[in-house]
Amino acid sequence: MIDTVLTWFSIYDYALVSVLLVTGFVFGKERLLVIASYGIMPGFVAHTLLFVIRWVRTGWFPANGELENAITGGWFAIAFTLYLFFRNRSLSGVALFTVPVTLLLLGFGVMKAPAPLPLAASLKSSWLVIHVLFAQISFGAYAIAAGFGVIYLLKEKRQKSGRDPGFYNRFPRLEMMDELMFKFVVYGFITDAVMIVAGSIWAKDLWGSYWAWDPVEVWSLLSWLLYGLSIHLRVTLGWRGARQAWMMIVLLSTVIITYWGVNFVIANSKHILGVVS
Amino acid sequence: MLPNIKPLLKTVRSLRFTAGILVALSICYLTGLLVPQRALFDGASQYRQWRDESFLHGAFDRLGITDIYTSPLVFILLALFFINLVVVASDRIPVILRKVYLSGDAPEIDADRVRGAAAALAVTSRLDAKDLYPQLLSFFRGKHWAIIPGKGEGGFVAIRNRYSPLGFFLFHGSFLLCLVGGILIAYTRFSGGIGVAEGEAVNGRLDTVAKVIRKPLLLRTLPEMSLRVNSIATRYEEGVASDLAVEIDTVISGVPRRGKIRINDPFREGSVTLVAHNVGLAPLVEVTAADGRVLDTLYAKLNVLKGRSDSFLLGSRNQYLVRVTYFPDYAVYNGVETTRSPEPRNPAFHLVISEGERMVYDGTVHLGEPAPMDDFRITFKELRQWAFFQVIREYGQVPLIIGFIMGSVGLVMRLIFCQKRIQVAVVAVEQGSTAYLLGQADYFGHSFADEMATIAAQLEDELWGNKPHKGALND
Repeated sequence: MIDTVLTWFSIYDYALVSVLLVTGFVFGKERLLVIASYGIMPGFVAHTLLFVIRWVRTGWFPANGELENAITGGWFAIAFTLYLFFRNRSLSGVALFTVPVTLLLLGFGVMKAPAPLPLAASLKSSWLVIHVLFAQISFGAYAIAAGFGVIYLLKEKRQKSGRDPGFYNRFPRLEMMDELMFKFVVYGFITDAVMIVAGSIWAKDLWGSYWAWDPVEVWSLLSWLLYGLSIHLRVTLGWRGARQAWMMIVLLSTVIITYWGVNFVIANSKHILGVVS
Repeated sequence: MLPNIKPLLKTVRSLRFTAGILVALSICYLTGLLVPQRALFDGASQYRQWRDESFLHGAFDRLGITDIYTSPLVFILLALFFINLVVVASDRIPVILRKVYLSGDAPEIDADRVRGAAAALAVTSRLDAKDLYPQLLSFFRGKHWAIIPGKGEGGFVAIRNRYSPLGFFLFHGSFLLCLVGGILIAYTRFSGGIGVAEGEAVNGRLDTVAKVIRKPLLLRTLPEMSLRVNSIATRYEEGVASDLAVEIDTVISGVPRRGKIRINDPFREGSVTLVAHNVGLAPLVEVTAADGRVLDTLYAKLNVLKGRSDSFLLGSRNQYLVRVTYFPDYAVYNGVETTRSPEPRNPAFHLVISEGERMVYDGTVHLGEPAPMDDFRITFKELRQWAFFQVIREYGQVPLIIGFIMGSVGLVMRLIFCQKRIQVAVVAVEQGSTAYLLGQADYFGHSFADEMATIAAQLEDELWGNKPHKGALND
């Protein structure tokens, strides 16, 4: 019962905040954005309680089924958004990306299977926490980098057109955003690497081999290699600014495909990603 | 005469070459995702059926696209990737050693150049240059910056995360270790499957006791193994298989051990690993004559859990085919046989017994209830379980795991603890001296510019006594 109340409270709060954020951004209403930034907090408190209660009640790290994945992944995304907000108000624009995504994930999870499900034997492993946690952190970092990419491009366009950046002044200056994008990519790349390594070690215990060319494995390797390439392109060939922003936006699709796309296209992956076996 | 390989080396070490290989590999891997791969089919017959479905599928098969991950093209690309890695990494050795000040001369601090740089910050002091210099050293050391003295006495380099660039070698070297581990595993791996029922024991060399899935190409002599399954326990919660525990006794390469295997918790002895994958049902089947004499008993290993059907052969010439569907918690709803739960609370078997085209029996029996089979009867007397194990023998895990760790450490070292350097030059002026600070940071120069401003302000505070530093400096 309490789970349901907390879940729906978070969903309604994030929905309201999303509306405020989108309205604020589209119409350049600074005040709405400030209200939205503070408005995240009640939802986040409920979200945190939900995360803790779920963990305590089931006895395992919440990563079993769509809703638990949404609770955990969304919690990290929102926690990170708030951290950025309190550290530097000019970074709060990232909420425009993280809050609606969390809202959609929570909504999807609730529609699929809201009740806690028994944990399948295959998921009872200490590696579950490391693998899933790092997967979610890396996804969050890549998503934020892509979010900065969008804002970078919009702000740059505004500046190039010679108009007063006005509303976009609330974001860091372009060169800082360029570095922030890179910071998040680096962060995502490292946590992605840990996720792949942890998954590989887990696979050895569960399936008998470190690597089996499973479609999800291949796609995660592919996206990791492409993010690695983007880091090389920046460091070695100086692909910064708008080029990097576009890369971040395009590359995010590879991660989305890894997490949600592969199982739609290919039926025989060993990865169950949110579905209990 | 030796061919001139310089142009070739130039190509191999270029970033375009790296990018080209990564893009080509990505295309291959992407193709492997779009075209169904042979290894992902449940058995060769299913693959053949798919292959023969259409001309296109047949073409994929003939072109080797259904085995793309192990195709010669991918191996060539991987070989080029590693050649590129080695060439680029060896090129970087002298550059990186200089960057961490492990080779080359002491840095030359050119005061005019530092002073003239756009990003240089100036901190003035009433101390003369000779006295200011040790104060600066003390300031930076106090903030945990390492000091690299410059040539002469004009300046020094304050450095943080000095050895961070060495992370490049750890990260790129880890690929080579993973490659070594991967090759060792690929060439020494034996993999086989074996089903053993509760109370059953098997003995022999690995490739004789298990059905071979993969033979090793190197170290082909496989160890002897004796395996006895003492018990198999399964647990279901709300229809989900939540636990499997198999207690075993083994003797592998002469070492006797007792152990327990669970899902995610395999049994290891030396280079041999036993992974439990699945469980099935092994009912004790008793065949009796019309007068009640027991003619035969056997444990039939059936893969009938989760609603699947399986079959086994009976009779002196194996002429009877017995197809079994298992209902652990038997119930009939609307005339349809079903199970209320996956737990064996009321086990029953739907049997379809045939001899060639002739139907012999079609009906449902409970445990201990006989089913007629011409002049005989068969009875499922007792329920046991059997577990399917994957038996693996391989080497190469050590370099692989070290590679994993080294790669992760290298990434963190290189990308998170980036090197920051401040060239410090002291110039005498009329009423004291001025310290010029020129900061540089790997990757995050703009963020470091903010940090530099803070450092300069702190230094100014110390030199001018706002925050006394080891006694009054400027009295």
